[in-house]
Amino acid sequence: MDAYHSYYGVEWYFFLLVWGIIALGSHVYQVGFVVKLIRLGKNDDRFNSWKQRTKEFLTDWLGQRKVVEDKLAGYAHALIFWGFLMLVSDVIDLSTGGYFAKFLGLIYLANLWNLIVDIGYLMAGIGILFALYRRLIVRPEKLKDSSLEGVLILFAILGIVITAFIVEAIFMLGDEPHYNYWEPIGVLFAKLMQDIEPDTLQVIVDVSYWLHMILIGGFLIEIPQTKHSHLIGTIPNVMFQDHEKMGTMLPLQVDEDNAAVKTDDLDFDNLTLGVNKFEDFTWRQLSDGWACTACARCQDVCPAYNSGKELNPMQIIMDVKNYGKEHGSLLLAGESPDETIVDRFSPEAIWACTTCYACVNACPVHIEHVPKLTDTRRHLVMEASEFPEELQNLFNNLERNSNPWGLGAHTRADWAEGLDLKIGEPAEYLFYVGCAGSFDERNKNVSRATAKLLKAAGVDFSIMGEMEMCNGDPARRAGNEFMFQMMAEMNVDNMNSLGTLKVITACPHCFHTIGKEYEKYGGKYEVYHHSQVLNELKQKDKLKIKDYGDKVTFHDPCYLGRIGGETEAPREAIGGELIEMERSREKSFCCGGGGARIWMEEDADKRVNEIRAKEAVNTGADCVAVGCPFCMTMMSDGLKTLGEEQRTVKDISEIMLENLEE
Amino acid sequence: MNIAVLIKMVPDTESKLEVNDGALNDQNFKYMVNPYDEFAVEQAVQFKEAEGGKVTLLSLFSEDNSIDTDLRKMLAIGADEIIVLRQQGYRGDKPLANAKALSDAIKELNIDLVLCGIQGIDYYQAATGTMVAQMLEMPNISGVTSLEYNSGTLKAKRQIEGGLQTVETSTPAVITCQKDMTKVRFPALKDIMMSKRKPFENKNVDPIDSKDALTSESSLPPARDGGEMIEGEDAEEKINKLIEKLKMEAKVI
Amino acid sequence: MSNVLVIGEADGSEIKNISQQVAAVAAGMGEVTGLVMGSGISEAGMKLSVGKIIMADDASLENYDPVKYASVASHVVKEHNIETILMGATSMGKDLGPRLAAELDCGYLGDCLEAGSEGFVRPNFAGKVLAKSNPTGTIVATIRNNAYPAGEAWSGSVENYSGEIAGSTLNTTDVENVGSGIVELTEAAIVVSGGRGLENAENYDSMIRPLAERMGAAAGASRAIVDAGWVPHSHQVGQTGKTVAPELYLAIGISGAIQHLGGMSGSKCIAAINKDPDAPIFKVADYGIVGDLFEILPILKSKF
Repeated sequence: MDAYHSYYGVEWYFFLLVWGIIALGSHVYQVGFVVKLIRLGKNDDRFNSWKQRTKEFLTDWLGQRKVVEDKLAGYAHALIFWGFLMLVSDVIDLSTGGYFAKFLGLIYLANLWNLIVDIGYLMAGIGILFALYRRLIVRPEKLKDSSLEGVLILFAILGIVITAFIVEAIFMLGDEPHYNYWEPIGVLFAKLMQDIEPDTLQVIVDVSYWLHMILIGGFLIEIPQTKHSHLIGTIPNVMFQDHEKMGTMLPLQVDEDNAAVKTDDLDFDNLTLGVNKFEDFTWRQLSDGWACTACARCQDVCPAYNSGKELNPMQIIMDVKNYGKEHGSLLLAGESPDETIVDRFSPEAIWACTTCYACVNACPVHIEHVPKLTDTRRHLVMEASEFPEELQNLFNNLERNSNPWGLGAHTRADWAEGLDLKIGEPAEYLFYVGCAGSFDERNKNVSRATAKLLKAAGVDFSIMGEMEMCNGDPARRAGNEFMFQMMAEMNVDNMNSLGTLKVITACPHCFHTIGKEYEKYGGKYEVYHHSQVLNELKQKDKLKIKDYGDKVTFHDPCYLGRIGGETEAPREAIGGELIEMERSREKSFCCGGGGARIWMEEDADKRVNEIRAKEAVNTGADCVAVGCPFCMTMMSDGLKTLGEEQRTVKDISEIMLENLEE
Repeated sequence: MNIAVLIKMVPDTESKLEVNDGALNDQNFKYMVNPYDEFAVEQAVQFKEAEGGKVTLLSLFSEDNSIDTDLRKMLAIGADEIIVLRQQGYRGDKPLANAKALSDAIKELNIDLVLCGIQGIDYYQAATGTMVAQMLEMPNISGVTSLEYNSGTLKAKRQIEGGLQTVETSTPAVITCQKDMTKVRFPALKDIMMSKRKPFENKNVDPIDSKDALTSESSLPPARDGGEMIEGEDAEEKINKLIEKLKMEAKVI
Repeated sequence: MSNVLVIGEADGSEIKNISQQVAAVAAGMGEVTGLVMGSGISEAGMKLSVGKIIMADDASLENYDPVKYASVASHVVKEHNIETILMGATSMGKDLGPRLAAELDCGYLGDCLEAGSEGFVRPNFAGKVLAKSNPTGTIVATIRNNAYPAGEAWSGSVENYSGEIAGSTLNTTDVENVGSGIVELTEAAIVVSGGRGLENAENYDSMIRPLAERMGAAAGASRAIVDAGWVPHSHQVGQTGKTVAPELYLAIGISGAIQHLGGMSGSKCIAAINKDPDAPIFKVADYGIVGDLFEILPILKSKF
């Protein structure tokens, strides 16, 4: 018994044809619209490294590698996804009145195919049931704002699964039941329904069949519009994921060798500085909008969002998609809507980002949130000149005295007084002190501790002294790419003239900028974080550090742990009784200082560092170990605000020096 | 409205200050635009945007052209042209001579309003602007914290002891600007690039013999090495010591 | 010894203390004549401690006007063969001085810390360099407040100004009193600044503000207490607040994080009071007292 008969004198396939044309037509039209929108974006040549990309596609898209990082929801989704892949060909069979199965039968694949489809529906069904349970009964915090859309979609898929089984089952019934055990669930359903009146069964199979096809058609129409667009959107997104090292920002213009075009050679008349309009984004930045599933994992880990600020990384991605949808026709006609994408994001949100990359790290489909914010910052700083007042001071200070506080450049090496260090001479290593380590009282101690330890271990190193300049990181993250470029070019000149290619730094931001971003400006250096060098010396017994029993917790700096890839060296270096915070290593929660935010105002009730400080307090540790001058400041301030001054904040080098055996 | 803005290039506040044989060593000075003058540039540009006209920047300096980039940034704020008077042997501490050179240059332009910062952060004399006014026979209002212009009348507010004085005058006049008189805009990169094409004229002027009082000897105040922790038996004693030091040593109260 | 003119300023029915200080200095430099300009200033003018006082009392001189005042002063200078003109470095003095010097085509030395027949000393580079001058010829100089003590009050003979007063297009339309004791933060010579050590807003209001008023200083604050809502943002000193460079910065209960330092490191003299001997502020302070500010502040206030 099946639904393949005429209805009111019209054959079933006519109805299907009409519906198919409508649904597929709408689908193709909408997808085409979105593709055109995305193609408005600028060029980004990711059509390379095909072998690597294919492998990544298989593990990340097919294998759901990042999706299953969230065990519960992740595996539920994997079930639905894999189940879907397995069952999707069933629609061909259902649309051809069963001829597809017959065709497969000719090549002896029918049974296997039936089994796969059935298991597929089952997996999807189980996954959906779990998802519904999570969304409706458990109601996790992050989903409390979720719209009806998600629930409806889940129910719709469930409907497709159940109607599929019903149709399968009734197909097995009729005058004589003929159970096909290659469709085990179908058999189950059939056995449950075998006693129903044939007339009723006919009605049920008809209704189920058409409900099934209507739902499928409905999905085709709905997919490009809702977050279901990720079905298609994730394909280019995962395939063409970012191969640059995490956190590296790109120069204004690059030449054929992928090196930055020198400041003097930049063609300003034809250069767009950052992003203001929709089409200023690259196509890959735009495709993010349609890859997002609104899973809120980025939102969960975002320090800005969690401290009550205007920024919500998920919203930013939704903004791209929604803006595209709303202004699509204008954009495709080559016109500029009154509202720009910067207006849509809102400058307040743009400035709230600490560039910690937790969002990018958490995203299962390789969406790149941070570059959208740093690119819009570039426009706000270099074109619109609209940015927080405090940054004006920052820029002026960097320009005049090459440090963010505008303190006398000639006092840069004062911290080293009395330490008898090599200054400005070639040596095996260059200890790049950085601005905080040179000018901030608290951090000068860290520089001194590091220098003393290196000396004690007999490492041959020198410092640049007055010649050292800020590496430009604050300017770059704040969007003043022009200033950064000039600073980078100058620094590379200076550093190259020293001839030393191995660099040690106690600041993860210097570690990142000099180690990974200076390459494009002609500066290729081997850069080590001081924890890496000091730990190696400790392991090799060049530094004898005695054990101590204090309870200590380590706050992984974003630019060392998550972005820098180094989480173990600091831990081995500090020793003690290490208690981990709830969020540690690559999942470390930002201290709030990055993205030039340490120089910007923050409302008293929206403090990122207080959130992290509380987490540290919860470990019960007496000492919070840090490996970054920003973290040092932010954690100290945070603890003070919480009234927890009795807990100390110390740098890795300070802890090691304290416990150095003479 | 044609406005002349006087800009002084001053040594960076954070420069190393060394005195050798009673003379200040200025060999390694890096120069920057006097911050007080930036307010004047911004105010002038705002007037131009409202009333039309031209903003001419005038700066008196030596032949050293390391200052050119920073001066061009002032053009980027929105001024139309800059004239740098190059004088051999220029010194920043001769207000009478410098005012003469500047006012002579202003006389050659058709100026309705002269704006400049109240003082330079090098010598803090707060004299040049007012002297220029006298030499141009124009009225002057100094230390202005807010300035309005309406059909030929300037309305200025200036701080006086315990209050705020509002003064009006007709143009032409000289106004010297106080800190935070207005918010100086940060020029967009495009404006900085465009400013490279605006007229930048170097004009040689002769050194001027003047009656300026010259410095016979420079010295560094007694070094207060890293700070002194005041000791005492009790709070009262410590406070007395502190006040004495503030009065006698530091001379700040 | 030369002929000295002291230009004094009236303040209601009194003569300003700074004018008396200048008069005291002038006494050691030669034969002194005083000049007081204004309207209805006879009572005040007579109190200027000089032997002979020229009173320029005219309605047209009611408010300070550089053009008019300079014309009167230069007339007096020429008539009495004055070679040294002294006045206080007030808002009037710092403007009248240069204008007068230009009119007389003579040298000008502003805001002097030392003055005498041996010469003058004035501060350059925000006080980081001292410059000595020994000018020959006519000189106009303004003297900084409290550089010298005021002499004892006595009055000399009075002469009425009989010369001309130049016309001027300047017109004072309003003088607004913002209340004594409320000094603008960025231009104040002394800033008294409070931080978290004060523990609550009431303490700031009851301890910092009155002290500032007594000292004629502006009241400032660290970011911590602005965020806590104890004081408005206008009081904030620091990287994200105001940058100040007063003669004296008194940091009370402020730890001295680098963001705060960025706003006041240009101060000529920094004095700090904090209970924590390791507070970073002590590394940049010229004078420091480690102690309980609740004990120290009341005593400090009583000294002013």
